[in-house]
Order: sequence, then C-alpha cells, then structure tokens
Amino acid sequence: MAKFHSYYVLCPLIDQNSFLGVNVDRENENVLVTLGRNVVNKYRLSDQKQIGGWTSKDHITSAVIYDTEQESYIGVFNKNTIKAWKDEGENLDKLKKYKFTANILKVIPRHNQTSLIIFENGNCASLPYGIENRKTYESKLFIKESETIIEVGSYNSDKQEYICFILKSKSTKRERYEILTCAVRDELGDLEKANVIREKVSRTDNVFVVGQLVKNDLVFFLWNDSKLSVYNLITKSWKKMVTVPWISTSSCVSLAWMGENHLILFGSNTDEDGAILVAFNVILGVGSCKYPMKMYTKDAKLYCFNKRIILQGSNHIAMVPYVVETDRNLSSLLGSHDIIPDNVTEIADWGTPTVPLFPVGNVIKDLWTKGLTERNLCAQIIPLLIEKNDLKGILEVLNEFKDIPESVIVSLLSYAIKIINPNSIDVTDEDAVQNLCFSEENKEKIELLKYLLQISFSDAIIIPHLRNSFTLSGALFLISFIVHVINDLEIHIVYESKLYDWCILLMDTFYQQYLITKDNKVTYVLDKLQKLTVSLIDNLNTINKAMPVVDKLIHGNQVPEEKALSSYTIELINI
Amino acid sequence: METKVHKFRFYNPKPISIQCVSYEKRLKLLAVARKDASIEIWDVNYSPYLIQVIPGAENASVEALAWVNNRLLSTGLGGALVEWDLEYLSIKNSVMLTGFAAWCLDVDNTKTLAAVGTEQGYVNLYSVSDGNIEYKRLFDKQEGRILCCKFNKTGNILVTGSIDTIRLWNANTGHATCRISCNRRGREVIVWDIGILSDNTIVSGDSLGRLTFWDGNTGDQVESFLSHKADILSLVISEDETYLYCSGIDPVINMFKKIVNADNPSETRWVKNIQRNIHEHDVRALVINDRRLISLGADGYVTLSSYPPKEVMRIPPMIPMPRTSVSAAKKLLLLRYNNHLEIWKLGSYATDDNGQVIINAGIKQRPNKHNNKEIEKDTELPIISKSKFEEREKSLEITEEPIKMASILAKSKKQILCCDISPSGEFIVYSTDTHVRMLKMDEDQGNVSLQKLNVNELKSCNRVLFSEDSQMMVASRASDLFVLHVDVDVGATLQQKIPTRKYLKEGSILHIILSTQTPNGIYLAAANTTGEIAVWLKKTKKFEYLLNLPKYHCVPCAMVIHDMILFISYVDQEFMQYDLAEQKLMGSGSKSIPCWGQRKMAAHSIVPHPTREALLFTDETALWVLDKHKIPEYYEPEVKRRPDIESSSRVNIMPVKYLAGFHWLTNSEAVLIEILPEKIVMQLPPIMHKKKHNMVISK
Repeated sequence: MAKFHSYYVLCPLIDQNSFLGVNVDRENENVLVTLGRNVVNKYRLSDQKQIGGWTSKDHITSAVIYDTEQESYIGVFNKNTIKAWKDEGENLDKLKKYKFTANILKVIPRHNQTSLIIFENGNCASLPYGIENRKTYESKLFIKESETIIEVGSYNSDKQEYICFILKSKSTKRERYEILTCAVRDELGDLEKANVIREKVSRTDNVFVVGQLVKNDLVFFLWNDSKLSVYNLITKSWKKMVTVPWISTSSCVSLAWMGENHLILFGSNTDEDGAILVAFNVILGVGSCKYPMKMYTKDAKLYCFNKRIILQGSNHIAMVPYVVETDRNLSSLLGSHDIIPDNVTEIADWGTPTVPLFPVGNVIKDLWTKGLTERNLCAQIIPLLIEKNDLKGILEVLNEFKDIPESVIVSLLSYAIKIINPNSIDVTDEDAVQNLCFSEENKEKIELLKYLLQISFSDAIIIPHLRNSFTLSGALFLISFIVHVINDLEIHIVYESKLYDWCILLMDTFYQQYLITKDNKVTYVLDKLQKLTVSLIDNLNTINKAMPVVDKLIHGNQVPEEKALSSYTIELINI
Repeated sequence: METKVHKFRFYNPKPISIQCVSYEKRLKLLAVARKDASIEIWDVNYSPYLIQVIPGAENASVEALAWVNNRLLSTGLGGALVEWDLEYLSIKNSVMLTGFAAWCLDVDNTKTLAAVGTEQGYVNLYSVSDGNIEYKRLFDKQEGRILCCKFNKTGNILVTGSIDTIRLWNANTGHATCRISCNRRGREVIVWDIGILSDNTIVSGDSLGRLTFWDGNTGDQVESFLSHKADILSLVISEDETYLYCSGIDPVINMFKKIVNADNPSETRWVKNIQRNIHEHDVRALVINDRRLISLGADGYVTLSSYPPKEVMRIPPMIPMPRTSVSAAKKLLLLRYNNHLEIWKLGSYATDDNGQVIINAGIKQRPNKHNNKEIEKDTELPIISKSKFEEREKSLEITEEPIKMASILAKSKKQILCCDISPSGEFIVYSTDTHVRMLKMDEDQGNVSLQKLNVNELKSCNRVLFSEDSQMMVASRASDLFVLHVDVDVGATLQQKIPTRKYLKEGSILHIILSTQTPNGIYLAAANTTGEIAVWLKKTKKFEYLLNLPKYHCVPCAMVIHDMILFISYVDQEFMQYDLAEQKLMGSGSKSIPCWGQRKMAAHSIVPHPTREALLFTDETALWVLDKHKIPEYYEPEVKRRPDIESSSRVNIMPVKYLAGFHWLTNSEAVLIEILPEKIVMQLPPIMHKKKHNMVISK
C-alpha cells in the first residue's frame, strides 16, 4: 500500500536548532528551506539542486512561505517584522519592513486564500489586513499565559474558515493538551471570539501525548502507549483509537500527513537504538511500511510534499520518495490484523458518572474500548443487525467503519439483494430492472447496495465467500445493477473503477456456471456487460488518441495533420 | 503549369518468392525461377532489365536452373530435366530422370555435362553438348536425397551434398571417391549448398548455420565457421576463388576472404570479412555479377549490392512491363495481375464555381517509416535527394473515388503474358501462352458488360498494343509481328503478318511500338532481345519495311516514337534519338546530361510530355523528366546551388517508391500507379528468422 524509496540528502543543515522549516514554492516541484536565522534556500526536489536562495541580516524567526495570492515570498523577521518579496535576486535587507506590535508566531499559507498571520498570543489575521493594521493590532492575550501554541492548522467547514490550535500548558506537573478551534472571519482573518471551542485532550489512563498533528479537519494525537486517537473538528467528536506498530512512543514522535489515508511517523525504533520512519494507514489501522534510519532526532520536523517526505536529520535534510496506493490487496493485509493485547486495565470510577469519550452506539462502545480493529468490530456487530433486519442500523454502522471484512460485505450484499427482491422481475426486461433500481420505495435499499459496492476489499479473500453464499441470479442482478449505475448515473471515477472490479469479480466467481448454463438471461446480462466494456475501451482509446493532440495544443505546438497514406489522391505536381 | 496527378495505390499484385537462380557468366544473363514456376530472364550487363518471362503453371515446380551457353535447363519436383525454348517461351525438350523429384542441377565448365541430384539418391548425368540432352550415366545410388551438386572446374569431379553427408564422385566412372560425414554430435545436418575450389577444397553451408571447409582429398574438416544463426541456404564463390558470400534463413550476407600467408604463400586461410544486412526474408540464391552481388530470396526482390562503395539497389517484385495501360477518353485503367485483370474507373476532383480546383491545405503525406532500422536502405542518388520537387504536396479534394469496374480472370487461370486496353476504352485484349482473348466492354449506368470477341489466326502473343484510333492491334509472337484490324462486330481479323527474321536476326521480340498518325503514315518499330531495332511504315494499307537502326551493344529498355523521332533508352543509360523522316541518327543525348549517368535503374517506359518538349522516363523508383531545353527559372530553388548541379537543370527527378506505371490522361492530368514497399512486405510470408533483442528466435 505504501512503499518508501531510498533516502537522499536534500541539503546539509548548518545548525539543527535554528532550522525553521520547509514550505512549498510556487512550483510544486520546488521547496523553500528556511535553514536558520539568515539563510533561505530554494531546492528542486527532482534532482536536489539548489536553484536559488536569499540571505538576510535580520534574524528569520519562522519558515518562509510562498503566498500564491500575492505571488510573493513572505518571511517573518525578529518575530515582529514581515517582509514580502518576489524575485530571486532581491536583497532581503533592502525590503520594506512591516513592523508589528505583537509577536508573530508564524505565517501559514491557506489554499486559494490569503495567508494567515498567527500571533504568539493566539490572535490571527489575514496577511493584507494584518499589515494594514499592524500598529493597532490587539496585543491582548487570547490564550492563557501558561499555554503555548504547538501546532496550527486551518480548515473549512460549511464555507466557514476555521483555525485550530493545539495548546500545551505547563501549569501542572503533567503536560495538558487542548484543542482550540475558532471561526475566522472572511477577508479580515481575525478570530470570532464568540465562537471559541476548547476541547480537552485527555484519557483516563495514565498516559501522555508524544506527537500531534492537525491536518485539515482531523487532529491526531499519539500517546505513549502507542495508541493513536483522532479528533474530527467538524463533527466535534473523537473517532477512535488504533495502535501504531514498530515505533517507540516513549520519546517524541513527529507526524505528517502522507495523503491517501496515510500518516507518516518518525520516531525512535522499538529498541531505542535508532530511528524509524513508519507509514500508517489510519483507516485500516495498520502500518503499511517502515524504513529504518540511523539517527533519531527529537522533535524532527517532518513534511510531505509532492510525493516526497522531507525529514530533518541530525546534520542534513533528508528526502524519501514514496508511493501510496489505496487498493487493498492481500499482501498488504497479511499479518496486519493481529490484535495487540491491550494491557491497560480500565480503572473503574465508581460513583461519579463518566462522560463517554467516544459518542458511538452502545453496541460498539464496549468493543471500541477493547481496542479491537474495525474488522473485528464489524464481524461482530453487522451479522446481528442483519438478523434483526435493521436497515437503518446497518447504514449507521457502515458509515462508522471503513475496514469491513469481506465475509460481512458478502452477507450484506446478499441481504441487500434479498430485500430488493429481484427475483420478482426478469433481468432481461430492461424497464423492469430500471424501475426496480430507481423506484422511490427501494431508495434506501438501493443506497445500501451502492454503498456496499464502494467498499474496498481484497478479491482473493472475497471470492470464496461469494461462491459460498451468493446465487447466480443474485450475481446476474448485481451485474445488471452495476451496468445501470455506470450507464445512467454520474459517479466518481474511483467508484466507477471499483464497479468494474466488481464485474470482474463476479465474472471470476461464477465463471463455470456461466459456461455451463445455457440460460438466456446469462447470455443477455453478459452481453450487456460486454457492450459496456467495449464502449469503455473505445472511449479509452479515443482519449488515448486525443491526449497527445491536446498536449500539443496546450504547449502551443501546431498539430500536424498526419493523414494516413490513402490509397487514392489527386495531387498537383510540377512535372 | 501543374499537373493533376492521380496517385493510384490500389494496385498490389502479390509478390512471388524466388526459388532458384542461374547465372550465365558470359552473356550475363540471370535466370530466376519463382515459386509459381515462372522463369524470368534478366539482362544484368548494365542496369538489370527483365527481358523474358516464361509463364509458370499450376502445380509445376522449378527447383534448379542451369545455363548451357544460351540454352536454359531446369529441373524440379516433377522429376524431369527440361530445356526451354527461349524464342517461343515454351518447353523445347524434356527427359525423365531416374530417382523421382530432382533437387539440384549443375552444368560443368565446358558446358557438356549436366548432373541432376534426385530424391532417391541417384545422380543423373546427361551430355548437353550440341544442343541435345543425352543420357550418359547414372551414378551409384546413395542413401537419402541429394540436395546440391557442383562440378569442379575441370569437370572430372562432382561433389554432392545431402543430409549428414557430402560425397565426392568421379564424374567419369560414377563412383564415389570420398564420403564426408558432417553430422554433429548426433544432430541431423542438412547440407543445403556446396562449392568446390580448384584445389579440391569443398565449402559447405548447412542447416546449423555453419560454413565449413573440407579437404576434398582426405575428407578432413579444414575450418568451420558458425557464421549464421539459422540455415545457410546459399553460397557463392568468386571466379578467382579469393572470396565467397553466404546467406540463408538468417538473411545476413557474410563475406569470407582468402588470406595468403605472406611468408609462406602455400598457407592460406579463410576469414570472415564484411557482413551485409539487406534482407529480412530468407536469401535463397547469391550471384556474383562483376563487382556486384545479386541476392534473391523469399521476398521476391532482386537486390544488388556492392562494397565498396557500399550501395544497395532493390528491384521490387512486380508484374513484368507493360503492366498497366489507360484509356484516356474514358479515364479507365487496366491493371495486369498474375492471372487476372482489373479495370478501374478513375476518380475525379472537385472544382469551385470558377472552375478552379479545390486544394486541401498542404498536407504532406508521408509513407510509414520502415520499422526495421537495421536493414540497409536503398542507396539514394545524391541528385534525387536534391530533387527540385516541392516538399509540400497539394492534394485536391476528391469528389468521386475510383471504382473497380471489372475483374477478368484469365482463361483456365493461366498466367497473363500481355494485355492492353484500347484508347477508346472499348476493347480489352490479353493473352496467355495458349489463348488470346479480346473483350468488348460496355458501361451502361454503372452496369458493366463484357462481351467476348473473336480473334482470328492468332494463338497467343507476348506483346500486344492498340493503335491510337483503336482500330488496329499489333501483336508479336516469337519473331513474328501480327497486324490485326479491330471491329466491334467482327472482332480482330489478321491483316498482315510480318516475319521479322530478316531484320531482327536473333532472339525474340522485346518491344513493339506504334506511332500516332503522322504525315508519312504510321510507324511501327520493334526491338529484340539482342538489341536490334527495325522500323516499318504504313503509308496506306500495309506496313512496309523501312529501315534498321544501327545496332547498339546492349538491350533497349524503352522506346517511343514522338513527332517522327524514335527515342530509345538503353540499359546502360544511353539514350538515342533517330529521326525517322530524315532517316538519320540525331545522336545520343546522355553524355551531355551530367547526372544521367548516375541512373541505376533501367527505364521501363518513355512518355512524351504533352505540352512541353520534354520526355518522362519511368523506372521502379523514380520519374525522370528530361527537358529538351533548359528548364525555366521557376523550377530552380532559391538557394544557391553548386555549379555542377546547375548544369543538371534539364533533368527533374521525382522519387516514387515504387512506380508501377505512369500515363497521361489529358494535357494537364496524369495517372501514376504506385506500389508502396510496405504493401509488398505485407503480402510476403512471415519472416522465418527473427532478430529480437539480439537473441535469435527461429520459428
């Protein structure tokens, strides 16, 4: 599912304590490395060449970013000054300075919006607004004095921009963490203070946080017992807890988002004699890949740009290219579902009513706390619900989980087909199938079926289940249904590709039956599927032919009208 | 003014593989037998030129050919030794052999003995002196078929190759003197071709791709080279025995050279010299023709190569000339195939309201690039690459596509020898070796009807053509000319038979041409295979002998009468003009045209330009336009040119690969029949031996 390639050195690090961070440049391909107090360099990731850079007499105090809206580089100097510049050759000491009264923590770029200035006191402002009002800007503390902002992220919910801080307070013996979210006003970019929500990060056990990350609307915390908890900022709920393998959680772990449901973690290895880089699938709760390294760096900065992991090493910045795939295959699941024995005993709290940490259904709750994987949970819960014929319940539970065992998928499919009852109609009757699939009364059942087909699975595992508990007529209906969905509905490309996978799977499963039966229905349905496939292939071929032409047009090249040498032409020739 | 040229690419006769070859060193004639048992005789004195074709027959086979001076012998799976009549292009004499199917044939140096190797292991020895074929002796029977045989230079030793074995025979007694076993570790080895040197060294090429030298006296192996990755089918040793070429299913041609030790001249070694990669298909035969190597094989091409200078020239397998003819009046095109004819009606182009042609924006049509990069390309003439023809072709919008109107299968599916369509488009005539057929074609609103007409007193012919007014037809058979009158109702009736033996002393008729109606009458010129040309004139009723042209030393490859001047192009690229009215030679032109001598291909037709004083020479690869006067300025490219090319401006060359025919339709319209090389390759059998990532896979 994920694979790391070999490790390169992007650039040497002068002083690892003063290293400030890495950000993306204008082109995805390049990165801005803010090396220390005075140096910013630009590197190309593909060949690790330095392609530009600036030096400054003033101390740089936060990583330089590229602001796509103003099309300029933004840097923070001496904690209170912002400078903006555009070109390679610019002298940073001669730029106009925008001095603020409050100390600036950092500037964060936002997607398709102005960048945000984050002040150390917890306030923030959009870049142009902040610069305009830099003299008068509020310097009042927004967070408690004992608290420091350790992680900042912005996200979007219902067209409203939010900012999220992870605060760490040192007031008591134990470090306490809190998530603070607050709406950000349009344009101005300052906080709507009426809308502040604080969420305590705590567990009943005697554990502490060793790593944290804000990625869009998700906040990840890694605890010292290797458990990873996720807080969803939109639903304001704690999602679940999974165990992270291969990494020691007794010291700090750096986290970054890899994309495609994967986290990367960098920390000390379990023997604590070296470091390790781990890719972790948060949906399946399994480690996808690990990469051992020599030296562990505490609080190493970790990033992920343009299919490459950027990691702060002891005296250099390293780069690790990777590949991630979402498809689930057998090999990636092998051995990943071992249940790690949970040694933590739950301390019963008699008397005082406890607020459940995870607001999930009662059935799930008990199982959750045992630290079972999603697969195990599903396998226990869903068959019960099917027995009860609880369609709503099934849908709810399914929404909760992403990793559903193949056996459950098959029994759910059988169930869905059973309740739709396609035996009442003839699959060769187009209108009847159409009616059945798109009638109002069946809407919910059809939704279930559609949802089921989106779930990823491993085909090697699913085939025996299908053979055991699926009927030929069910398969025929399912194929007709898939053909209808592909033909008549607008669906996402990932879903469509999954539907084709299902077709292949159904073909494989009932291959011999198809061959043996001389049923007209089988021929009809397979013929329908064949037509669909042929039209897909035709379309792909068309795209294939069109692509180079489009590419040429985009690059402003004239498209040569290469005509095949026809067998008959009349030409004007000087003879 | 620009000419509207119909480029017609629907003519793709199936190429036929070459089976075997024999080369007459003195006359420089090459006999080539194809898979369909037809035999072609090529004159290779200068540019190779096909002079005669003996039609093949169904189920016939020619496995080996041999020349006895100017007599041609062949043998095949039919088990007979056949002598061919090269005048009537038919069998002259045939004797049955002992031992069923015959695989090989060789004639000794003195041209008195012919040895034939047969399936059952008998070597048949015949005496072939004095124009006879007389049984002389049967050699002792050996086990297994005899696949190749060769006489030594003195003719007293015959060496034969068969499966696992090479034998030396005393040709006088018929007893084997030496047997060489050449199987290798129990693997069966087929000796496909063999050669013997003056010092009795035997050279063999076998199915393992080995070229082996044996001592003919002791039967020991002297040297062996694994020169090919698949069977060696052919080898040829030079006259002075200093070098040899070999090739086969692995179509690389390897040259081996004899190296003499400078200190000890009696010590010699053979070493591998150069390697040529000019074929994709099996090479079945190799011939050394002076400095050129002629290689022939399954691809049907006649390929000439030389080194140095490193050059390659390929003559594509095509139906012999004349293969196409047109009726300009009805825009009909007659195409000749091996045993059928096709009649096509040409398409037409769009014109706008002002009568101007509509030009599709300059789309340069490029033929698909040949994908095998390793194969050596045809050597291009430097002048062709500097050709003045515009790169940008202007193609016209086509309103009507060409239509195939009729396909005529020859009587009893025999090979067609010649055909013509009358200029009026009414009559079509063709001949096989036994029948002449004339058909009248009527077209009524797309319905085509063909009606057979009688042809009296003419059994078959090798050349036939209609006069300009479509009322006369001239045909030739061996050394006789037949003039027939053509009538819609009666058919063709013989008007006059002209025996030409008196004027054309040797050989058979190669070309006949008719002039248009001139003030003096109609001229008829005929040339024979030895290069003699005679002219007849029809003033009123009959053709009268007029004159014989001075004999030139080589064969004319194309002739035309235009404005009472007879133009002749010879295979050595010489080009003559003879004024028929004044009856005097106007001299040759070619020396004064600088780049003319660089031509490699023999012209296969000369077409006068309808509007300019210019002649068009066609060959398989190009159309050469020769202007009588210097070509006006606008033909010259704007860039500065070197002076030597400046003087060539009387010549304009248009490369066409491959040009099958060119005819004028009107003053500004012409048709050009083109056969693309890939169309030929497409119809060939798949390649037996493939080179893939440097690994050799034999199918």
